[in-house]
Amino acid sequence: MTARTLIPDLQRFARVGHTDRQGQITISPRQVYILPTRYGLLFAILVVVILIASINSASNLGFLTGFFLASIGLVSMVLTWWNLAGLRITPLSTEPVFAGNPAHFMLRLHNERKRSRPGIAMSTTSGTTASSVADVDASSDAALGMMLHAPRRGIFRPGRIRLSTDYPIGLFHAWCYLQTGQECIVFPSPAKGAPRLSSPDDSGVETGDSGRGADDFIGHRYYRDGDSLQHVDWKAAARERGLFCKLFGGDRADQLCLDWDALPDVGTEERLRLLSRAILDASDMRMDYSLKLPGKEIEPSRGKRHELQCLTALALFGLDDHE
Amino acid sequence: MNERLHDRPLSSPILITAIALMIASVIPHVWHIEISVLLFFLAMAGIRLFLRKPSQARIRKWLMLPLLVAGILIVYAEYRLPVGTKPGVAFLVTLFGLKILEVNKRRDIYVLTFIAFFTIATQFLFENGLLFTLYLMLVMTMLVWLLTTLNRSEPEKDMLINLRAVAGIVLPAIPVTIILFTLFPRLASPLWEITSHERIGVTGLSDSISLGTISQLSQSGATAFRVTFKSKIPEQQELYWRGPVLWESNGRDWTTGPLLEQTPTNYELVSDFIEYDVVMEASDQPWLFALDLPATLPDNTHLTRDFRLIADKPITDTLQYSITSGIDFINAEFSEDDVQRALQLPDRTTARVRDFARQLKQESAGNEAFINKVLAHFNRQPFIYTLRPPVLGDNPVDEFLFETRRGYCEHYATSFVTLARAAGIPARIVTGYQGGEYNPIGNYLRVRQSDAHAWAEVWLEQSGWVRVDPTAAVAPERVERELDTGAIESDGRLTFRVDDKGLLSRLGSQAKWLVDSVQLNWQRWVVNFDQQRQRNLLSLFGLDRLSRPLLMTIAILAATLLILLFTFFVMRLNREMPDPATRLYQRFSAKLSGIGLARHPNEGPLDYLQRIGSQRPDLREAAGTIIEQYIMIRYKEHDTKKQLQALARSVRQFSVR
Repeated sequence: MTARTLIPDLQRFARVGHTDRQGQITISPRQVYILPTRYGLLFAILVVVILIASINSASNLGFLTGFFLASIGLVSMVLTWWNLAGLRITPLSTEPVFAGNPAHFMLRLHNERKRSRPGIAMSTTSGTTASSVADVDASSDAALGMMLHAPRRGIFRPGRIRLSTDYPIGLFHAWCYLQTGQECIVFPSPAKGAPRLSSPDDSGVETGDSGRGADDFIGHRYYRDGDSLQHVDWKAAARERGLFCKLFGGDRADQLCLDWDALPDVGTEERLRLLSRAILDASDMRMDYSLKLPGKEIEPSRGKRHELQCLTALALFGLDDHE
Repeated sequence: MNERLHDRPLSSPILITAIALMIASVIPHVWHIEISVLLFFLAMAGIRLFLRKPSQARIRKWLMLPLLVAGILIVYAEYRLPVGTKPGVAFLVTLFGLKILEVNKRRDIYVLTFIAFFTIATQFLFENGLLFTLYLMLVMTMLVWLLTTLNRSEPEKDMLINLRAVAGIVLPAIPVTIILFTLFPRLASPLWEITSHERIGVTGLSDSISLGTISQLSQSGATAFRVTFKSKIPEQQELYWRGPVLWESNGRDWTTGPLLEQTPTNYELVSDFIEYDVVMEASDQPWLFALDLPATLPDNTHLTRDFRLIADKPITDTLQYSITSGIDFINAEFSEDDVQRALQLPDRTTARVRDFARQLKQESAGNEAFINKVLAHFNRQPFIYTLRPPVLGDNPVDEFLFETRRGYCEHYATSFVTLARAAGIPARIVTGYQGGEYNPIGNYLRVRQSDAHAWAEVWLEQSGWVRVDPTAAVAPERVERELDTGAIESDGRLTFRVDDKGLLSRLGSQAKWLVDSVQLNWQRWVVNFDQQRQRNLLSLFGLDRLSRPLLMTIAILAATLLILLFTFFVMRLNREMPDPATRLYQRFSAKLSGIGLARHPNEGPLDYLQRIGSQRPDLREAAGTIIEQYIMIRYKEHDTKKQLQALARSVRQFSVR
């Protein structure tokens, strides 16, 4: 009957800490649960054995030892509970990840006491997740995080989060539940091979194509293997300034249209994975691209924000519970 | 359970600290068990420290079985079977050592610490001194500290700060311990008897005298017992603490002979009783010590016909008893059987001794005159009192009286009794303690092993059994002074007490008395806190008539109450303290809430200012200053102390009117 075996049964009735209007959670003393650990039970047996032996040998110093240990156990129970009670928590926003990778949920713990709160661990309610353990110093903050495997694209919610501690001496385990409202956007994991869906668009773009055309000289860059020897700036090389490659650009760029309908019908998830790969590739090549999904269209653009927008659209495709 | 924390491998500082504490918890057993077992334990700790790299864990695993066999063989060689206290403890220490060897992770330290707690409890089977106990309490505290480090993420970082946290556990535990210790009901007898209970303490006085062998007189300064008198303390020369009474002799050895189990009936007490409490150290012998004639007896004891106080069991632990004695009494208890025993002369008593006794008897008018003659003989002839007498042969009394004339109390007492018996006067030897050192700080008398003494009792028609101390008759100038054992009173009597001269030695005595006084109270209130003493204490609160289950309930309730009190205290003392700037800002908002302008929980400072300004333009300037100062402190880290003072001033001056 240790903490571990009882926790799942009790969870349904548990008190849970919710975020307040500032987006913070304060653990009230009544939200903290506490049970002895198996070391606590072993310790209790030890105390009882010492006391029985003392009764039998009428050894008062045996009594003293037994009662001293028992008192330390009782005091530690209060301190374990108090180590968690009153802690203030700010759930931090979560970085999106690709399906199959671990999502990283972070909390910031604020200790407003003049005493430190060591050994605070974070896990899911099943208690199986490995997490980091934080020692929150007196009147200061500490970050605490846990990694959860995100298996599917979509929105990943860790559900109730469990904060726990065994401090000070590990005889008792105190824990509490938090509903942090944290969620992590999980992009479809990119397919291995890129789809063939580029439909070059011949309309001109004002910014040009930044070095992919060959009409006008636009600047230098360091020589890379595979660059045409015709483009090496030999004059600069002769002046021993290093091997540079002259860049030329045209005023027209390739613009990709990543279109759901242009893909072969390989199933929704597979199509999303292909699109995910295509978005990453297009970003790598610094091309403009647009995304067309049934019922959603994103204008051509480029850059991190655009990429995030497109990948999020893929992640949420067909899911009703968002937006 | 924080699986992750407990699965972490041990860092070197933690491992070394842990092993040092394990050694500290075992080391006092050096006085209790065979040294080889302890050396085995230390070797295990040493091997663990030597092979502390994670890669060497496998070597330690391989060593385990051979070392287990070696450990068991050592215990077997020293004790045969691990039955009984000492072999049991030796076995525990051996296994403890082997457990140290296999420690790898943080979780293993738990088991180790628990074994250490148990080992500490076993230490008290052998000793119960105050310093000894304090030392072990300190080790327990440090073990608690070790446990706290296991439950931190980075235990090595603030080992000392954590030490302060341990004070936060141990100090509140002390009152709870005291409550439980005081209220927990004590049993009068053990739950079950341990058959092979042996215990090694200082062995007290034995119940026989063997002359001619080497000096048996204890030179030990160890305490035999301590006495607190409820009435006034009798004179030093009246303090004869009677122990075994020796009746029978073969000329060399004197023994008690068969015990005279019947209770005495025929005696008459003349003067007032003396009431006193005795705290006696373990002696492994069943007899207790009392002055002269015990009138009221402690529990579980009986009085024999020769006024010996015998406990039902040997005194294996310190024992406390209250007793009343009559010092002045007429003891006419004497049977025909006793006459025969009190006149028995060893066959080997030489003619020289018999003739000498007969000659003295003829010269004296009566038995009392004879006694005085013998004492005068000891006084006038060159008899010497020494703790290093020459070794005597087959007829020690003869050799002592006529040849060596050097000896201590046993020589004088046996010689005197032999002479008295040869003269036809019933006599017996009494062993026990004489005198005692008065401790003015604790107001009690401390009797030491070196106060052990032997004297004689003779039976006279008119007065019954009368005490005669022939040793005291030795001429003062012939006492060989040894250390501080012997000292001479101004009246020429030989007594056994320390003389105190000079300021330094007096200060020394004061300190000694204080320490001894503390020790007595420790013995009295902790080590010997038995049912009787508990009842006496509880009667102060009117709780002495409670049944055992009820007392147990009260003990648990009181402990629970203390823990609740502690919880309350912790909650009050460690309240969450918002930082000062926030508090000032809250006070500012509280002032505005009076006119319905409290800050919304989600409202930023600037939005708040705008709302204040739009509703109360007259307050805009003052509120603006405060909010600007607040923002400076909150979001820009400037010289915050000065800023805080400025903010405090502004908030104080702010008024909505």
